[in-house]
Amino acid sequence: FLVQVIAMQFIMATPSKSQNLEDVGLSISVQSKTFEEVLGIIQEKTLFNFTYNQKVGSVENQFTFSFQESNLKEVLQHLAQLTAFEFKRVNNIIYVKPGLSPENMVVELSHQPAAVNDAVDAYIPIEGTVVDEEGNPIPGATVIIEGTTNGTVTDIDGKFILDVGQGNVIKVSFIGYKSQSITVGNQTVYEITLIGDHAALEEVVVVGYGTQKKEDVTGAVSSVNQEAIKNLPVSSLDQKMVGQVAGVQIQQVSGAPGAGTSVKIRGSGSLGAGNEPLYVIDGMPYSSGMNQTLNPLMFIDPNNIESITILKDASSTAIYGSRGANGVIMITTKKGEFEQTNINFSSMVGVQQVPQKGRPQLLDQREFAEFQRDRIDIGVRQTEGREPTLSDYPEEYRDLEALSGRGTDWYDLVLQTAKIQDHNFSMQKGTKDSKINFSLGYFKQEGVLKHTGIERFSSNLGIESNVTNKLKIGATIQPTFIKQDRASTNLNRNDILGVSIWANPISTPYDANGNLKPYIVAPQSRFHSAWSFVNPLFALQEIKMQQNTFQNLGLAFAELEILPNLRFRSSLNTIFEVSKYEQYIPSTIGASNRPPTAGTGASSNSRSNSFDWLIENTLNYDLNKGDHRINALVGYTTQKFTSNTISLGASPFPNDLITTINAAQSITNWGEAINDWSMISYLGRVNYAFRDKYLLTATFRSDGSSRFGDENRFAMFPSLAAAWRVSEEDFFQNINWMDEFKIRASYGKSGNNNIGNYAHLASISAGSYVFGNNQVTASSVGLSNPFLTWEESNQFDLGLDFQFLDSRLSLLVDLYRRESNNMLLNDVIPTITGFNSQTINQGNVRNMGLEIALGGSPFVGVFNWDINANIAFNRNKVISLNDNTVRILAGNNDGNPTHVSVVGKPIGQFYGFVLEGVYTPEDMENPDIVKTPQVYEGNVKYRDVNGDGLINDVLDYTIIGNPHPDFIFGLTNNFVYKNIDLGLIINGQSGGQVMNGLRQTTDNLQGFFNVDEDWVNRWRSTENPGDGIHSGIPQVRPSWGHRVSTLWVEDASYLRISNLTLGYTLPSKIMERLKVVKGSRIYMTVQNLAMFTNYKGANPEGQAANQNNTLVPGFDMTSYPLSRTTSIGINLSF
Amino acid sequence: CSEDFLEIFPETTLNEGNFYQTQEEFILLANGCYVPMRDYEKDLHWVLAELISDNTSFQYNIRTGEAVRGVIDQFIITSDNRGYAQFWDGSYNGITRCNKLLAEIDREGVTWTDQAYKERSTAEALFLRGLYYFNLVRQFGGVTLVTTPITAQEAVNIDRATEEQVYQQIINDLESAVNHFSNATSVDEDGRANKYAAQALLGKVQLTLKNYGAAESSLKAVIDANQYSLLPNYADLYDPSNPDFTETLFSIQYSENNRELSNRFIFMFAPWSSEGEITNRPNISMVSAGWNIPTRDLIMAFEEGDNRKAVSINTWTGPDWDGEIRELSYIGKFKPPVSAPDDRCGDNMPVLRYSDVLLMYAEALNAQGRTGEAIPFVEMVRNRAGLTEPLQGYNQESLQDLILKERQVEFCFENQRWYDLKRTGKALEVMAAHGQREKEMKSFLFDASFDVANYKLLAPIPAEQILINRLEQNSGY
Repeated sequence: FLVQVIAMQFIMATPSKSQNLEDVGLSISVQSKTFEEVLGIIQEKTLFNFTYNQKVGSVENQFTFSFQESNLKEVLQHLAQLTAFEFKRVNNIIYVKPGLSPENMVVELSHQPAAVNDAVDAYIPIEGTVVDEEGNPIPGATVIIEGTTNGTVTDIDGKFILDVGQGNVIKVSFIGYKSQSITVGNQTVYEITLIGDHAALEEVVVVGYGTQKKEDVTGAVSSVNQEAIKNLPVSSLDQKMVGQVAGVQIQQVSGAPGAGTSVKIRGSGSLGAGNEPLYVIDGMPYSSGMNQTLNPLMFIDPNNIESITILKDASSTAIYGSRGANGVIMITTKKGEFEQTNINFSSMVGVQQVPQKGRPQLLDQREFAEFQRDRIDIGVRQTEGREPTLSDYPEEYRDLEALSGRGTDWYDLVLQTAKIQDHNFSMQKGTKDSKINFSLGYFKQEGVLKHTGIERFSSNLGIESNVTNKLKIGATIQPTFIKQDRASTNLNRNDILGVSIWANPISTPYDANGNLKPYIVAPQSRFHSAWSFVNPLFALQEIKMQQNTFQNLGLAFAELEILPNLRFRSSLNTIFEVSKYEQYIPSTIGASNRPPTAGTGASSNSRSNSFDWLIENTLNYDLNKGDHRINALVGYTTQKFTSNTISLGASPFPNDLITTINAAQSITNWGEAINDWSMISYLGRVNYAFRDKYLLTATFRSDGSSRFGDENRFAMFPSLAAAWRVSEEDFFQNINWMDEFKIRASYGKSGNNNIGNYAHLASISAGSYVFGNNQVTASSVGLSNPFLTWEESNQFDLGLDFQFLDSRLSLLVDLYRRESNNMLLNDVIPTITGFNSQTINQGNVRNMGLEIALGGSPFVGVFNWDINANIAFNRNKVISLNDNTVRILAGNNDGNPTHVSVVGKPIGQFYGFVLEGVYTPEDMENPDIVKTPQVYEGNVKYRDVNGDGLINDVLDYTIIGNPHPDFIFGLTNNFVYKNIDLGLIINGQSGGQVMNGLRQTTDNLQGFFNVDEDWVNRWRSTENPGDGIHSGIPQVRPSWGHRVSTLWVEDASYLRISNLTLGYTLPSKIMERLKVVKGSRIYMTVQNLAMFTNYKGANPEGQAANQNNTLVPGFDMTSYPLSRTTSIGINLSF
Repeated sequence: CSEDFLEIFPETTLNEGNFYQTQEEFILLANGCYVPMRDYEKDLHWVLAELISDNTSFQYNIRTGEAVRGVIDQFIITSDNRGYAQFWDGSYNGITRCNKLLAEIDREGVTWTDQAYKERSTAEALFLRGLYYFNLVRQFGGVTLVTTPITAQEAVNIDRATEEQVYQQIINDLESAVNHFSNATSVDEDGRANKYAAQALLGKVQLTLKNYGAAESSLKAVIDANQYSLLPNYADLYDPSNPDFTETLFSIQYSENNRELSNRFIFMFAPWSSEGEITNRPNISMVSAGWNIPTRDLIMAFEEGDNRKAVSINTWTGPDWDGEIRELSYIGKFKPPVSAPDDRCGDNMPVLRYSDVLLMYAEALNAQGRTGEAIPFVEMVRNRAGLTEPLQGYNQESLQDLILKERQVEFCFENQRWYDLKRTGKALEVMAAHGQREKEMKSFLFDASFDVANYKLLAPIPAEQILINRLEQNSGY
C-alpha cells in the first residue's frame, strides 16, 4: 500500500515520554548511506520509529556525516538541511515529510497524558481505528485534541487510545490524507476513515526531463487527477482527460472504436502544421498530429498510467524546442516501488448505445412520397408541358394513404447495442535494490456501427535495479497489438452513414425471403431521379477494412552518481511498429447509382514498418546551500525516425471467393513510400530558488532537424520564468486562511516542426509518357523552398496560485498571450506559376486567453466531497497572412470553399451565402432584382453581398459563422460516504458553431435524396409559401438550393454529463476475512450519460476526416455517433 | 557528423539538389512537357473545343450532373465552370515545365553525348509551349505570358498580355522550334514533336491571324518536304493497335499499358445506356458516359458517299435515356480497349494531320484570291474520302464554305471545330442556328441554353484565378 513504514518492526520499548529530542543523546557516524539507511541507524540507536512516505518525496543522495556526543535534535536538524525534509515527533514516532519552512524543520508535539488541571470535566478513554478508503489500517496517524497539544499516534493496526473530554474535537491526520475532525460524543469506539489527499500526493509533478516539487513550479503546468478518471469506460487516455484541465480542448471528432481525438491546448496556433500537442511517454516524444482513423494513444493502456501532466506555457514546453509550440502532454507509466508488492486486477464490461438525441430527423414515408411527386410534377410540366397524372408517378408513390409511419430507419438499421470490455492484471514488486513491474491488458470494443470494432492486447514489463549504490540501470518494454475493423464514415454522403441518413424510407433493406438486398433501386420515373444506393448494412457486412498493428515501446537507461549532487543519465528509447491494412470490396457492392457488377472485386493493401530511436544523455546537478537551491540540467540528444510503406491495389477479382492479391487479374496501383527524419538537440535548464520564496527557471533547447532547409538548419528556443511565493514572506505569516499564494510569470519561445519531411526540397516527380510503343519516364520539377523552417510560438504567461483554508480550497488563474509566427502556410498561389499551392513560412496567429481552475473540498470526513471546476477562454485571431493573400479559402462543397481565414478574425470562419429566404411575388415585381434564371418565385434567395445585382458562388460568399467556442469548461465532482463513492464529470462549451456538411444532401431538394423534416415547410406555391425560409423544389438546373448558407450553421454549444460513476468499496472487515484480497471496489459507470445541445446532428464536435481540422474546423460530416456506455467493473488489489 | 546526420534526401523520388547533370535528365524533363497536355486532352479539351460546338452533344442522363460539361454544350458559360479552371491550370502547368527546361538546359557542366538531343529537347519545349499558348489564346484571348520559371510573388504582378503579344510569343517559339528541330532530325522519334509539326502548327497560327502569306509558306514547307502523305484508307488513322505516323504529324500519345498512359474516350463517348455493349467491358460503369454524341447537324454534314461517315460515326440500338428503344449515334473514331481488361484505351488523339496541312494550305491560298490553286488540295482530301467528283464552279467564298464544311467532317471529334468556327467568323451564326434546332428537339435543355452572345466567343478567366491572380475578366462575364 501507499505508506511505507521504514520501521520494519515496531519496537515496543518506548523512550521516556517526557524526554525531549535534545535530551536523547546520540553519537552517529555514517558513510555513503542512503537516507533510509540513516534513519534505520538512528532508529536502532534511539528507539524512535520513523515513518516516511516515499510517494511524498524521496531522497536519492547518499550521506556521509558524523556526530559525536550530540543529541537527536541536532542530528535531525542536520538531516533536514541536507534533504529539505521536516521531522515531526509525536511520542516515540518521528514523521518525515517534505519541509516547507527551513525554520521549523524539527518539531515536537507534547504528548499524553493531558494536563490534569484542564478545565474539562471528565476525561474518558476512547478507542479508535484509523483506516484508509479501502479499509486498510493506517499506522502512525496523528490524533490530537484540537486546541491543545495533547495527542497520540496510531499503532501498527491503526488503533489508538486517547483520553478526551466530552465535546472535545479530535483531529486525525496523516501525510497524504486529508485531516479529519470528530467531535467526541458518548461513543467510546470510533472507526475513522481518512480520505487520500491526492493534491498532496501530486506535490511532485513531472516536467520535461525531470520532476519538480509543485511549489517550485514556475510555469503553467497542470496534472490530471488520476483518481477522478480511473474507471472511465473509454479506450484511450485522451478521452479520459475530457473536461479535466483548464485550457485543454479535447474534441471527440468521431465515435468510431479507436478513433483519434483532436486535442488543442490554448487554441489553434498554426495554420498549416497542425495544432496537436506533443505526447511524451516515459521520456519518449511519442506522437504529435492527429490520426482520426487510429488514435496513436490507443497503444498506451490507460490502466498502466501513473501520471499525466500537461505543459502549457513556453517556460515548460521550451525544453521540447521545435516540438513544444502546441503544448506537451507528459505521460509516465506505472513502475514498482522498492520493498513493496502490489498486485492489482481490474475488470470492466459494458454496453454502448447510440442515444436518440442527434439521430437524423428526415421526411417520413408519406412526406417523402409527396416530395417525390412534387418533383415529378415539375418534370412533367417542364418536359411535356402538361399536368401530371397518377401514372407519371412510380407505383410506390401512388397511394399516399398506404404510406404511413417513418418507413425504413436506415440509420437505426446499421446501429447496434455493442459490448465493451477491459481487463487488466498488473504486478509491481520491489526488493531492497531492484523492482519489477509487469502488466497484461485486454480491451475489446465493438462499434455501435455494426461490423466495426477494436481489440487491444497490451503488456508491459519493466525492471530497475541499483547495481551499486552509485549506478542504477533499468529497462522497459511495452508491446501492444491492435486489431481494428473499420467502416467508412465522417467522409461524404456516399459513406456508410451518409447513405443510411439520406436513403429512401420507402424502400426496404430485406427481400421477401428475409435476406439483405445488396443494392436498393429507388423508384424511378422519366421525370425525376432518386438515387439508388448500396444497402448500407450489406456494405458493412461485406466490405472488409482491417488494420492490424503491433507496436513496442522500449526503454533502457543507466544512471550514474558521479558526485553526491551530480548525476549522469543515459537512455535509449525506441518505438518499433509494424502494421498491415487490408481492404476488400467485393463485386456485390456497387455504389450510388451504380449497381454491383460481377467480377469487379477490388482490394487495397498496405504494409508498413517504422523505427524511431532516441538517445539522450543528461547531466543533473543539485546544490542546496544556505538560502540557495539550484538544480541544473544539460543534455544532448539524437533522434532518428525511419518508415517504409508499401501499398498495392489490385482488381478486378474474377470472383469474391479468393480475395488475396494472387487472385486478382492485375495490380492496378502500387507504391513505396520512405519517410525519414533526424534531429540533434542540445538542451539545458537551471532552476534556482532563493529561500524557497523566489524561484527562477531558465530553459533552452537547440534543435537541428533534417526537415529544415539548409539555410535554417538549427533552431534555438529559450525561455525564462520567475515565481514569487508571496505566502512565504514574513508579512504573510499572520494570514492564516491562505496557505499558499504564488505569482508566476514566464516568457519563451517554442516551435512546431510538423512541416513534412522533405518539404524544403523540390522533388522531381516521375510520371510516364509513351512515344509510339516506347514508354518513357516523364519528369517534372516541383517547387523548392530552401528557407523552409519551423513555426515559432512566443508565449507570455502570468499565473496566480492560491490555496486557502487548510488547502481545502485552491484557485489557479493563468493569463496568456501566445503569438505564432513564421507560420507554415499551404498557400494558394496563382496557377500561372504551374502550381496551385506552395508551402511557405509566413503569417501570424495570436491566441490570448484566461484559464481558471478551482478545486475544493466542501466536506471532509465521513461524507467527503471534492469538486474541481475549470473554465477557459481563448481568443484566436489571424494577425497576418502571406503578402499576396488576404484570405485562405478552404473546404469543399460542390467545388466551392466552405471556410475562410482572414486577417483580423479567428482561423477558419464559415464561409457561404447569407440565406434571405425565398423569392416572393413582390421580389418578382421588384425592378431592382436582376432576373437571372435563378430568380423565380419560391427559389432560394441569397444575399447579394458584393452588390453587383447578381448572385455568384464565392463572389457573394461572406463569413457566416465562427467555429471557435467562447469558452470551454469542465466540472468534476467526487463524493464519498463511508464505502460508497460517486463521481460526476460534466464538460462542455459555450458559443462556437458547427456546420453540418451533409446538409448539402439532406437540404437538397432536387429529389435525389431524402431531406430534413424541416422541408415539410417548403415553398409549394404562391398560396402555400411555407415558412419563408425553406425554398421550393428547384425549377431550373443547376439548382442553387444546396449551397453553403447560414441555414447550415448551427450553435455548437453543449453541456455533456460525460460520466457518472457509483462505486462501492468492500469494508475492511470483509477484506480481513478474505485474507488474500487487500482491497476491492465494485462500480457502475455511465459514460456520455446525457448531452444538452441545440445542434441537430449526431455530434457537435464531429469533424470530417478528410477536411483539415485547422482550416476547416467545425465541419461535421456523417459523424460516427458517440455512444452512451453503461458498464460495471471491479478493482481488486492483493 | 551532425550535418550528415541531418541531411536526408527522399529515397523514393529524385530531387532538384542532384538533378540537371546529364543529357538523360533533360530528356526526362522534355518528356514531362507532354504530360499536362495528354492529361487535359483526356477529359477536358474535347469539352471546350468539340462539345461546345455544333458537332456534338450529350445523351440526357437525369442522374448525373451536367454541372461542367452539360452546361458548356448548351452554351451556358460561366466563370465558375471547373472545366475552364482545370484547363487553365493544366496549361500553365505544361508551360511551367517547358519554361523550367528552357531555363536550365544551357547550364554549364551538363554532359551532352549528342548535341542533337539538346537541340531536340529545346525544340520540344518551345513547340509545346507554343501549342499550350495557342490553345489558351484561342480559348481565353490575351492571357498572362510566362516564359521563365516564376515565384508566386512574381505571378501576382503579371497582368494579362494582349492577344497580339501572346501570338507573337507563339510565333517566336515555333520559329525557334523549327530551327532547333532542324539540327535534331537524326534523333526523330515517332510520337515526338518534330520540325514538320512545328511548321504545320506555325501555319495554323498564321492562318488564325489571317497572315495568309506566312501561313502559306510555312505549310508549303511541310508539303514540299514530302515526309507525310494521306493514308489511302481513312479508317487506318484510328487503329489503336497500329498508331499512324504517316499522315499524323503530331498526336497526343496514349497506351493501354497503365492508367496514367491511357485515356477513357470510348467509356465517356458511348451512350451511357449501352452499358458494356459497345465497350465490351461490362464490368466498367457507364454512369457518367454519353458525352460527345454526334449531333444531327454533324451527321447531316456528311455528303452522300463520304466514306468518313462510317468510320467517324457508329450507331447502336438500345434503350435511350427514357427507356425508349432508339438508334443512337456515337463516336466511331475511338475504340474499346484492345487488350486491357478494364477501361484503359490507347487510341491517340490527333492534333496535326497531313489532311489538315492540305486544307489549311488551300484555305490560305483561297484567302489570297488563289481559289484555283487551292482546289486541288481540297480535292486530295475529298478523294481519299471517296468523294471523287472534281470541284467545279467554286468562287472564293463558296470554296471557303466548302473548306469549313470539309474540315467539320474530316476532323470531327479531333477538337478543331470550335476553333475553326471562331477563326472563320462563323461561330455565332452556326451556334445560333444549331441552338435553335437543339431546343426544338430536346425538351430537357435548360431555359438558359443557347443564349448565343458575342462575348461567349472568349472563355471566362476562371473565377478563382481572378481572385488569386487579380486578373481582369473578359467582358460579358
